[in-house]
Amino acid sequence: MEEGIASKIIPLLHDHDQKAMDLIYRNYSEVLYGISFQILKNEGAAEDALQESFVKIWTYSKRYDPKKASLFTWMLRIVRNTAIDHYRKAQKTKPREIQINEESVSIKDNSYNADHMDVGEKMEELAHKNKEVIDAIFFLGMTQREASDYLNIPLGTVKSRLRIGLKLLGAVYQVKK
Amino acid sequence: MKANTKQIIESGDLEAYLLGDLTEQEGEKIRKYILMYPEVKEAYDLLERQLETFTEAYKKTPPKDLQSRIENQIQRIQQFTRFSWMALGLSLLVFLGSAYYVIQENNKLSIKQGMIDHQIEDLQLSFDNQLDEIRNQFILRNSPQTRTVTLQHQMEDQSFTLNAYLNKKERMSYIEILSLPVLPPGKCYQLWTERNGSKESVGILPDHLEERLFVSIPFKEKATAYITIEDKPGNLNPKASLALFKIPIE
Repeated sequence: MEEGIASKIIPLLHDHDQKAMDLIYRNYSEVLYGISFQILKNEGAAEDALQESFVKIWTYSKRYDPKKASLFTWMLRIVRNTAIDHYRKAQKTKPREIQINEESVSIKDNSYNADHMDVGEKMEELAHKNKEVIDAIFFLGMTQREASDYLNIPLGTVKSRLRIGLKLLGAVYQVKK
Repeated sequence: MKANTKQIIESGDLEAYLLGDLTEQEGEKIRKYILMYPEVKEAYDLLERQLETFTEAYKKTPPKDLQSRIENQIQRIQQFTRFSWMALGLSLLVFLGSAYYVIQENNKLSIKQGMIDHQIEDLQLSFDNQLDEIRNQFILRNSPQTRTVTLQHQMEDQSFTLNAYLNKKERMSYIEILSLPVLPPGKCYQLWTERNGSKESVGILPDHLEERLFVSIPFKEKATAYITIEDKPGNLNPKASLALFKIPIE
């Protein structure tokens, strides 16, 4: 069962009460906007994707099932998928390319939360190999198999690097909080 | 069991499920594992927490007007949805009304069509009968085997005159009424036949004669046709003794 703010939002969302959207915006918009921006690398595009995601959250609110995913995970999936769709549409005319060199890693973006200014450093502490797997899967919407083909590493390695990477990053930020 | 849960946890499917990258069927399988195995649930819950913490790192303040833009769009959608439902309801009503009207019209047309079909059939039958009559009359008048008898009955100052045509070979018998005295109101001329004591009405002659009238009499061996004056609408048991004409069919 969800705790905290999510437990207040879920009943409102199921009742299709617009107060739910206000609460979601106030509590999650920064993270969701950050993810959208991280995928699209452009503020206008990230705003559009976030706006569309909020409309989807509102439209599909009655379909949300807390037994299947936490509210945050459900919303994150919507934002991530919407942003990736926008990204792919924008890239349609361009050859698809994954930017995984140091310069393009958006973790160094100046817009990051001040509390987490050393995220980039922490990321860099991670093995470069874990980071590129997370980037490919989380921010570029690749499947694990696609990431394996693109990075030219076995599927099993992609899986373990994703798991270890998430765990490591989660732990790092947990400590930071 | 341990080995199995370890395999599930290390399969990478939990991460894919977390990000919503699995198909509905694959996701269902993972949901079952999460419900079945506490170790898998624990691993999944941990992943969810790690993801939440991890994404916190990317926090970025959205522009101030974004919330109002989102709210406006949601309101427009709500208004549009309400309007769509109303439009849908209205369209449905119009559709049902039109469908009812079309069905009613179709039924009426079907009934009309049926009546027209019957009328055409009747006309066809009547036309065929008339053709038969003309053909029979032609044969009767031009056949050397036809015996023609002219009969007359004087009624006060008017005479009732007819020709009887009999053709045994063709088995046809007709009368041609040439003149017909007018009867008092309530009276009619009845044409009937008798054979072996059995009487059969052929029909009632018209009140007035506008032109010569041919009437077919069913040809029966040893039968006799009679014309009597009867009360309208005719008599089921007319009497030969009162006949104006007695026409032997043979």
